[in-house]
Amino acid sequence: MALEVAFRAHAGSFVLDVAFATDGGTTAILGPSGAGKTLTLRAIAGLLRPDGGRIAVNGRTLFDGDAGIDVPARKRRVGLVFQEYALFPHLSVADNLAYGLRGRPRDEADRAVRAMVAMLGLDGLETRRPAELSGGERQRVAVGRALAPSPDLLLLDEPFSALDAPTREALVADFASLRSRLQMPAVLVTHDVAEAYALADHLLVLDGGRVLQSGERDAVFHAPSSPAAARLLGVRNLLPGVVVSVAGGTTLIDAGGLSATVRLADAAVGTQVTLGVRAQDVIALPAPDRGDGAGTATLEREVDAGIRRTLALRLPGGAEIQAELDRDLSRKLGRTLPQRWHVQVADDTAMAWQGHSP
Amino acid sequence: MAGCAAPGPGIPEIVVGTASSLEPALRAFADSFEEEENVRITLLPGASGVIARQIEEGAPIDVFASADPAYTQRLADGGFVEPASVRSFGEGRLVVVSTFSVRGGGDWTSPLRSSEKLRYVAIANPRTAPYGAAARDALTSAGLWDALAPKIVYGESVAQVLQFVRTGNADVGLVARSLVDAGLAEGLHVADVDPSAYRPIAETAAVVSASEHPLLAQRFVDALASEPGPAAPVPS
Amino acid sequence: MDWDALRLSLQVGLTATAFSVVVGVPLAWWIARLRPGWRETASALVLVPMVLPPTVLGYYLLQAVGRRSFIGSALEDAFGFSFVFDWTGAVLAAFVVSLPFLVRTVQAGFESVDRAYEEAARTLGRGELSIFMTVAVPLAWRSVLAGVALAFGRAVGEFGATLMIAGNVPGRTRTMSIAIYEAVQTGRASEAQILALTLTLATLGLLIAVGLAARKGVPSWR
Repeated sequence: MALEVAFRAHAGSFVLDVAFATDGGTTAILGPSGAGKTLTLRAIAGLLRPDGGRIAVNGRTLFDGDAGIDVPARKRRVGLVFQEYALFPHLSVADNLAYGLRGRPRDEADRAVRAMVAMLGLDGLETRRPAELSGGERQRVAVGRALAPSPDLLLLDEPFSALDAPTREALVADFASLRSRLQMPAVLVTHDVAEAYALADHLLVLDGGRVLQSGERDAVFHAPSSPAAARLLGVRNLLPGVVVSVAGGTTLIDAGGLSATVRLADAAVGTQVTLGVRAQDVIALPAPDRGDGAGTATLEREVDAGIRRTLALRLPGGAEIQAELDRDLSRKLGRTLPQRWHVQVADDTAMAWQGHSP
Repeated sequence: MAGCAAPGPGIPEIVVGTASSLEPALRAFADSFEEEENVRITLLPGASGVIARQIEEGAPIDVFASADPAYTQRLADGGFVEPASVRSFGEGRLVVVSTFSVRGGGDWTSPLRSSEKLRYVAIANPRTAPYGAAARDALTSAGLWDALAPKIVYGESVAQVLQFVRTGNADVGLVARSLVDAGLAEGLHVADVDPSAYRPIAETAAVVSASEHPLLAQRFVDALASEPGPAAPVPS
Repeated sequence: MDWDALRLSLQVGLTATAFSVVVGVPLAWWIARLRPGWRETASALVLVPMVLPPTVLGYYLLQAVGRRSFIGSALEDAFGFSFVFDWTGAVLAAFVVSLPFLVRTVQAGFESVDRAYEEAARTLGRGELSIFMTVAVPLAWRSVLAGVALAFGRAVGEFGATLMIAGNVPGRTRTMSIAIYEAVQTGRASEAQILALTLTLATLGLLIAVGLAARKGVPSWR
């Protein structure tokens, strides 16, 4: 295992209990603020002492509560990119990049700095101070500073959250290509599902200091283990429903007027379930107004974000769901939207869990 | 600083600015004077120079008592004390105090000649304290001043000089006999300096011109001068 | 003009300030990083010499290093050295009274530096001493200089405790403050004025130099 993490820690009254392991690649820790994401990184980096457990990178034990091992942060060879970067304001870009290289021969350090400058596109900025850089440049210097000493593990704490949207998109793309060239495992903290999906091989869903789910990216993304994990993975529609038929391994569920087929083991007809559907997987089509309104949803409001148009629809059963409007359809309909809609779920996209989520 | 302890209603207060060397003697006298007269005496001890300066600056002091007539003269010339009120009430004597005794006794200079035991000789600052000037004169006339110069340290007053010796930080000191008589030199070895080695130190008192109780202050000064008090030289 | 006194004042002030910096800046850093509770306690202890009357401080110093004290007699037996009536005694007194000014000022500077810088340095392989020199001190640089200026001002002005431990020995322990006191006391008003003015100008000059150094920028030790 490239990275083995299993520890308990506390900060004040907050208790953190995290366990996951990967064989390399990038792991994204996804969760709301206050979930313990940053604390997890701090514990791995050696800035927070766990109460017990074990942390190992490439078989090298960094912390083992039972064995009394606690390698100090400076000897862990773990690079950490801080949320606000924490670049040394009194040092130039080159000196920031070289900061972790002290003790190495001069020419080797110079070479490493030049390599970082080239890899991250920082040419011409070497003598600048952090205050004279743009947000994106700062982020790249922070990544370069952490990478320069060739750490065994790279940790990134919300590396894109301080950036404006265009810079952010560009840097997420840059980082994705950078990652493919780096050997060491990385752990990325984020609260943005798209960012996590774009950059990670593994996902770890954290909430309230506990791991809700962890595993290979698509397995987690497409099959959240609980409604709570689903919510953090961007599933905005979580509806109470009931099993109406079971046939040939597929189960038909009705959730107040929205029907979907899912694979759900051991579900008898009449079982209460929670149905989960992403907004982009709800297909909404204008319904001819026949006056009776049966089987159709009513438009409550719309949010037009330009790049996508989301409808809030009231199901016959009273629940509200969100649906992303198809782009072609959106263009055709123009500004004025009809009141009545047919809604259905795209094949193989619905999820369901036994019981009603609160 | 002078009027800190407020006297009771109706009881006048006399503030006496006094040289530190005179304070122990004056305190005993002040107690008996307070009993005889309905008055409160407050002693304000310090270096004569400092007290003279304070009087010149208008400090609420009624009587000036000093072991250096030069200060009294300076104040009288400046009109800060009444020239007619000046009384001499004793003659100060200089003693040598030391932390060690000299075998076989010898005269007062013996402790000052035992060079191996001697690191520091403390005297009052000759520029500001009459006993300091007297100490310097005595050491000079004994032919010791030049040899001792690197070992001489100045205290602000004889009281501090005595404290230097009592704490062992200085090995020998030259102080006023009155401090020794008041029992402040316990545990130290004391020898009288030959009176011919320095000019006598006349102790004088005078009424401050700005005093609010000039008559009472004058009575205090007169009583002090008529008293063969402990400040007066002890007949040998 | 008492050039000896001016030379001595500067010598004592600069030496004491140098010791204050060497002891006080690391001490300030240590206190700034103590846990709350301990930090307040340590701060209060450091403040003690600042609130005690100088005479009390002088008394304590005499108790601590006087010739009859344990330390004092050991030093004198071993090296023939004594703080008492010596310019080093004046340095000791000035050091003790100036240290709290330096520590308080620099500590506030350290406390205002984001801990993330220090943590970043740690993850980049640096030890505590290295972090102190390359991160903490440069980032609190203005506070360090302000602390140095305050400490120097206090050291040069030290009077009460100096008088008690070092006495008034011309050329050896008679600093400007003591010379001024003596001049006032003996009614040599014009001499006092000249001394006071000289001391004011000399100190002001040094403080301006420190201010200019602060403006010039932060050291970029790596």
